Amino acid sequence: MLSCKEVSELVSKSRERNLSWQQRFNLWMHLSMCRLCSGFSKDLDELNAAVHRHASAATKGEADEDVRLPEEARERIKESLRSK
Amino acid sequence: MPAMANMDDADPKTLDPSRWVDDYGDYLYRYALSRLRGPEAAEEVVQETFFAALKGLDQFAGRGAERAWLLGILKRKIVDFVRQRNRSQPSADVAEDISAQLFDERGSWRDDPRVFGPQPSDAMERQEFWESFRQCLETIPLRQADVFTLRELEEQSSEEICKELAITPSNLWVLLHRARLRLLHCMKARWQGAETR
Repeated sequence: MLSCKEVSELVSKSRERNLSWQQRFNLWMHLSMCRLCSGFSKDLDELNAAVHRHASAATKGEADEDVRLPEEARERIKESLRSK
Repeated sequence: MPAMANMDDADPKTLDPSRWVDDYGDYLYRYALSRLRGPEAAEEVVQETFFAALKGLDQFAGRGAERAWLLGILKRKIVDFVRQRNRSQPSADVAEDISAQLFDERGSWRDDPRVFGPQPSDAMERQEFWESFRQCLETIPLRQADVFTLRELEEQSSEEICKELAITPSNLWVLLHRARLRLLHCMKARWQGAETR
């Protein structure tokens, strides 16, 4: 039986590479019995989904609309663009 | 001369890079700030993006896709910036691992790690989510925050990140795992604090 620590590591690993059949089975066994680890795995999914949603909003220009390029930097960049 | 008039009618934005800063400066800066987490770093890559765009102006053929073109340049500049600042960073060490804080000697959770509760999706829509995520990302070690950003915000593949940062796949997943543990641990504190307010 895997420990919760090992399971959390496998949960992370499974997002970067394919697990072996044995690893998948052990992971499934543990997650089906352990509400803390299945909660951790679900939280990670939720976190990623929310981060992806925000990232795509940022690409469309629909996020952090109160953040602006500081005036000083704006002028400095304009100035150096002119001198290029 | 009609020929000259036509030339003057060509997309004025494309021919006038000084307008870029007003038209796209905020957009690019917001994007850079969300990836690099520091105003100076964000300003620097935005400036470099405009310089590179100016240099590559003759390669830019399309109209109307100017913002997407600039964003493409910015994304490369962000990766370059991350690569350079991580070059001088010591590689991940034990001190950056919070496992001992989260798990006991037998490897069981010391505390309930669950953050978002039974209806997480509703809660995640809330605006405070991004704010607490952003603050948590700033508290975790730079290298961990950078690989997490490339992986989950830039949505790069593991292979791309390993190549760009010259790290091994196992190094990458260890960094990502540490980042995830820390982020969720930090989000739990902030999220539940906000919940009970």
